[in-house]
Amino acid sequence: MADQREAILSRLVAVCGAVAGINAVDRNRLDVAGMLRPAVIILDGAETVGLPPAFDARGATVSHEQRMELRPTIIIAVRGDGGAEAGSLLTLYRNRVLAAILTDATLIASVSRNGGIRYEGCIVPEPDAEAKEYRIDLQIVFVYRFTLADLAP
Amino acid sequence: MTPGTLIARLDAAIAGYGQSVTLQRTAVDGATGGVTVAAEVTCPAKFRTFGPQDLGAGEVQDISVVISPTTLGTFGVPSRDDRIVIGGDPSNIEQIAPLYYGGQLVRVNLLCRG
Repeated sequence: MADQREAILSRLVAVCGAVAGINAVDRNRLDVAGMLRPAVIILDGAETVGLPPAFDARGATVSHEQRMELRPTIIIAVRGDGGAEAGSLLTLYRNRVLAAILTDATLIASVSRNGGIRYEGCIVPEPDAEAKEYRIDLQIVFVYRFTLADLAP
Repeated sequence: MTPGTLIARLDAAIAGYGQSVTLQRTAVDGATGGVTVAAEVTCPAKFRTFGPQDLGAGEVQDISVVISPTTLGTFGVPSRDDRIVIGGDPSNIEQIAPLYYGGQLVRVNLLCRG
């Protein structure tokens, strides 16, 4: 099997890039090239163990299977004029991006039957005075099975 | 010393070591978020790039810009998050410091990021 973490993150880029109205998507950057808007920036975020690995009953020192949680940050960046329209644009693209991610068959398949995809909320950072750039950060958790075999080069 | 003298000196200095940049004021489609350029002006400016935030080419960096009021025309003093295009790369104008002498605009300092 492929590295599930990479499979999920790569697929996220493709899914977000296909959302209607999104003009650019990039991964692990501070901004997209050309500052195109609306844009999505995906930060890989943290991968942590979801449940403490059970000790191998046979005494192995390495857990061959673990349940992992991947928490990428999905940033939607839009440009506004006065602020009011920016709020509705953030809502519009939050809805579109969330719907695309949570219904994508490839992403759902990548978390397998033992995992899942969980939307944990969003936050709109306080804008700077007179700013025209707005963003909303989505937090989505991907729970999936991690196996040593996935790490094979 | 008069405002005209200050502007003339700045124009001469920028003409010597400056470069052409484009200031853009954008408009946003409230339904789709699409961005268009509502007004723009191309003018000579002196700029210096510093504080790169990323080692990748074309990534976010801070840019200090000096512009003379001579060529701003009806565009006027740039405002926050107007864009400046330098060598084809757009940046956002984050800080604007217009300098006045005797009540007349003689210089505009900008801090841009993009």
